[in-house]
Amino acid sequence: MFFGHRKVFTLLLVLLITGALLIGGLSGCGKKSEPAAEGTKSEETKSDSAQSQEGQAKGTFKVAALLPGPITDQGWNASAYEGLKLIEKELGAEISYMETKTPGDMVEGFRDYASKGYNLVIGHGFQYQDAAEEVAPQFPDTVFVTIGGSKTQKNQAPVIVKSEDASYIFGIIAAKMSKTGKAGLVGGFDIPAISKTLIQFEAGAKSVNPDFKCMVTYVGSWEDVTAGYEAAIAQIDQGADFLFCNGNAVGLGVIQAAQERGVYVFGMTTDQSNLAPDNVLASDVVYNDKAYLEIAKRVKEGKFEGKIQEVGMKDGVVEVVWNPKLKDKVPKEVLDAVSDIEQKIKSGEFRVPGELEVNVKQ
Amino acid sequence: MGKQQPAVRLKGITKRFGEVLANDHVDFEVMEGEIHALLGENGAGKTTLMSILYGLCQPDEGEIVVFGKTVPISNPRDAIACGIGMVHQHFMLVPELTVAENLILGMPERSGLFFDPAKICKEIEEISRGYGFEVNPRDYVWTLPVGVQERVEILKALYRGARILILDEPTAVLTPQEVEELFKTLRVLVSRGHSIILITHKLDEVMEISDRVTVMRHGRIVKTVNTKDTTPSELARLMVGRDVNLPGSSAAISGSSPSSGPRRNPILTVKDLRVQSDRGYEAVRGVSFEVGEGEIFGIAGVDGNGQVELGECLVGLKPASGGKVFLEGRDITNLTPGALIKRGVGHIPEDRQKKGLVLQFPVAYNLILGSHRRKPFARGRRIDFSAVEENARRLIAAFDIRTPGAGTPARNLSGGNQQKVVLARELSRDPKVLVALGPTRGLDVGATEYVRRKLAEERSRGKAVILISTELEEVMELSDRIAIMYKGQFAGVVGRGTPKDVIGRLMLGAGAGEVALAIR
Amino acid sequence: MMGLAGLLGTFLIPLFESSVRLAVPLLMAGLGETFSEKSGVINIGLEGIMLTGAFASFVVTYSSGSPYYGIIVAALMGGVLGLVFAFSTVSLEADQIVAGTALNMFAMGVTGFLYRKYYGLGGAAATVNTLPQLAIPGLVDIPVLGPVLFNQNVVVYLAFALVPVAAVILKRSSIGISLVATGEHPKAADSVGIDVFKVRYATCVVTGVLAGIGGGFLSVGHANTFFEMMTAGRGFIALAVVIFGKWNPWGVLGASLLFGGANSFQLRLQAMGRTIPYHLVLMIPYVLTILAVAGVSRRRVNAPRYLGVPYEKT
Repeated sequence: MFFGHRKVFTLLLVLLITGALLIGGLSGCGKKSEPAAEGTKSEETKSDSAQSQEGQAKGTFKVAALLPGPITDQGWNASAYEGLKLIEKELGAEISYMETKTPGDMVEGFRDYASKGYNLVIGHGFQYQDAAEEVAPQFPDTVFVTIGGSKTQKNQAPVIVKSEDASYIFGIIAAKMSKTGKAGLVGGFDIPAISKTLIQFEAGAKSVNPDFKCMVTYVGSWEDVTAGYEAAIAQIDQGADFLFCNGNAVGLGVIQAAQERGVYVFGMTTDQSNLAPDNVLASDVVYNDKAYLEIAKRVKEGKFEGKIQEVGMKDGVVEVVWNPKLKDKVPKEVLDAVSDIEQKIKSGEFRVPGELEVNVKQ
Repeated sequence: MGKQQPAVRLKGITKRFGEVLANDHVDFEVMEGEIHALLGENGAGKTTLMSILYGLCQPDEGEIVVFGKTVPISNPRDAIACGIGMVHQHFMLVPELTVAENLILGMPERSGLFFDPAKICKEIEEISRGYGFEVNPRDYVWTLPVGVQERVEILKALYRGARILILDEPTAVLTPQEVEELFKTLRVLVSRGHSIILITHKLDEVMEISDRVTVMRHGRIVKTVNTKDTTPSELARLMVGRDVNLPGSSAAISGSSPSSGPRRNPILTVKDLRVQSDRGYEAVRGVSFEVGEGEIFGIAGVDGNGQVELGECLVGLKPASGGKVFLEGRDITNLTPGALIKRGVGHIPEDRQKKGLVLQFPVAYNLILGSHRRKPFARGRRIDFSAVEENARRLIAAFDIRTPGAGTPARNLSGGNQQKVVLARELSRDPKVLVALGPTRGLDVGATEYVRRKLAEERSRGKAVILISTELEEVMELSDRIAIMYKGQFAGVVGRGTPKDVIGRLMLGAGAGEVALAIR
Repeated sequence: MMGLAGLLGTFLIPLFESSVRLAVPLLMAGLGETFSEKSGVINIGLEGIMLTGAFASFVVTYSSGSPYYGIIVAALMGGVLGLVFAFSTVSLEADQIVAGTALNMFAMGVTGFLYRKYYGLGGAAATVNTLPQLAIPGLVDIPVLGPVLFNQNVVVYLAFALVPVAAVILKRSSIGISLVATGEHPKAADSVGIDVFKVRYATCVVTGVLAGIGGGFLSVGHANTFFEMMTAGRGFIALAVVIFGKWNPWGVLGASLLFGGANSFQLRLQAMGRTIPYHLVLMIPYVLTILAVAGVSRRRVNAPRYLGVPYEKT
């Protein structure tokens, strides 16, 4: 085999890798930013027309989003699109979105929409906060919001979803129903967005029974289903009869373990009762589209302030969704306690400590 | 040598590699029960010819007749089936397998899919005893001395039913005693009717062992003669195409340095040096010596006794795990190669292609490697290309490097000229000590002569030269003193003119009793 | 303080059970890799092959209902990828590291894309039947070890049974010595008529098949679902397992159990209390990996000499 041949082939392989990366990007990647390719174009021509149309149509409320991936991903980016559609429907707003990958793209994206007179531009991920921070001072009339993050200024703030509102209630349920007095909590990574839900689970449980014990395991992955399974098995072996996991696909393994060992488990993010109809008692369901709507409302009504924008149960963004098959088996006393606390949270009478308070506590 | 029938006849073999005509209508014949030497310089085409016979490459023209039958040989399997076996210069043994496993390798029809080691070992022991070999089939090949490995190679060919054995430079890595033993083996083989083709460039061996000699030059057969009708100088002339000074007879090379002069000013002092090998054992186990001004200090020994590690430690390529090295009284132990170059340690590495040159670099760059960050070649961080070119022009002329130009990649040069590039670079730095590891390995007669003369010149200029070589002839011819390494230590240090068999015995680890045993 | 029996029952046996489950994918992939590395081919595409195996077995199990079909297809897919890898590295002499990386990237992209397209319905993942546990009558009643070792699914038995088989093949068969010769001294192998290319093709396919099954075990033997990147680096740990196990099937078995055990141990340690920062505990398997690679490869005593070097016939 002659020399040139090998070089040419290695080059081909490099091209193949690049191609694979592109495909990888197409599929997006959960909560992380990923390089992406096409995908946008074939979708709703609305965005394109919205961009080219210009038309500073005065008076129309205009909302745009910058996304790290394609809206066809059936997950993270799709939820942003649903949010935009909801805003369009409920508020009669003009909407648009754009895929941006690099920090440079993000800055340009924010600037582009702001200069076109958009009232609200949402960066769909904490990774947008630096770009927003750079652009926001130049466009005081536009509000810049990032989903997650911590940076704030007069017209910039992160949206934080208070999924802990539901996990606090799970703690109450577990403490009231557990026979062993122990629950197992599994997290993907020990980061505030995850740990706050586990910590509030524990707080909820302790509010019922101060001696209730929560075991906490972090598996250090978002994808390792089998590690979630093993972590849960270990907790069950240690006596846990209620499980809760916040860690993406890790939770699938936890639910599997619950099913195998016949203990109760709480779902996360979506209603997961179909995964184990006899074991998933309730789920901490997050409505990202409602979060979009809520923040748009705040902006439209002039209620926006440059500080962390928490959206939770009160705003209809977070909800405890019972597994209909199991709800009858829950003692009435427990159901009453849950609706009671739900009412208090919704009315503002009670507040589950949020991410910032949790961080201090930790 | 009766007039038996030919075992092998090659008729009109022609082989081209691109532009090069490696074999040009070669006719060659080997009788049954004959030891036939195939003599020639590097590149004369003898290895190509034998590769064709063994099926490693295909001739462009010509045919092969084995035991009277014309046979197509398109791969080694065919050759083996015809009863041809080859012992390569670089052994084709797998070090991580046992002797027995090496023998049955590639012969599932003989060993079965799952083999019984005990049964196979017994079979092999029987065969080897039949030829008077002493080999333990259970030994891992990497544990065996080179001489024994050679025997395993021969055994491997015999196990495959070889009647015709090709040996490619078999003595290159053997001690004199091992050579003796090899020759004894070869005589046993021919007495049983085997034919042997011996590829070599060593005239004394040809004279000692062969029945007939065929000399090749430039891809052609020059002449085939009966050994008893010829002389070494005739063979040398046939080989090179002109008269040459044969090694040993050349006073010119040996130079004028008396071996027993007054004690010279020591330049390099080594004290109790210890070096680990790559494989984790101690390869050099406490070696002490001094090399003086104007002295060539030879280090001989069978390959793998720690010479290479010692040499690489002296030039900074391997750390010393113990002991000290002083250059003119200053401690230079474990300095980096760069620092050693600066202080005047020159290095002619063992493998010029891997360690001496960057093959894809032009000659001019190779000539400044290691000095490229210093004046006059560097100005600040930049290279002064005119200085580099000027340097190349000067050295190419001074060392008679045959190259199309200074910009030619080193890979395109012949072996001899590549070595001249290395020599030129190292000597142009005017080192105080020159460490030469096997400096003539693989070079033809002319280039060998040149390298040896250069080393002798360095001595005359008052340099200290350390010559590490497995070519005993070379060490004996050039060195003022010779240290013989055995298992990481000096078995002895002898002066010029010590008889070969004494050195040979030391190479085997001294002890007269042991020597007798090993020779048997 | 619990007694020894208590410790055994509540800690050691569950720990061992979980270690075995976590070790099986590493063992399968590691045994496969041992074959190809012994013959001189380093396949760092294990992760990609395992991921493909996991996805393939999930898809087939999901649509056919039988995890056995899933495992068979995972093996086939693995074998095909092994063949592709062999074609590029053995025939076309592409750099093995580049080719392996390409394989990983390709598998991650393709499985992720297809999963999202057909199954990733907004986080409500699809679940499949898992391989049933087959108790071996008699042996399962052995106290302590019986339930751990003899009440497992077919892939676990296969993985453990392959260890002695692989050891015998490598040590005591003509195939084994041909393979070793190909990795240690391909020229010598060639000179005695062994087809170096054929041997390397074969080992690459074997590696693919075993790694594919190892991946399939993840999605239908251990978990009951698939998720993008669910192999979570196991293919790379399997590479370390081979080094740690010194290219010896028994060593690979020991290393797999060690790595699986370390992972299981840290999860249990966390469940038992949070006295140690979890980051440190999480590091255990990875630190072991680094030690394996750094510690053993410093003296690559058993690394095949021609590992990673394409063979060029002269």
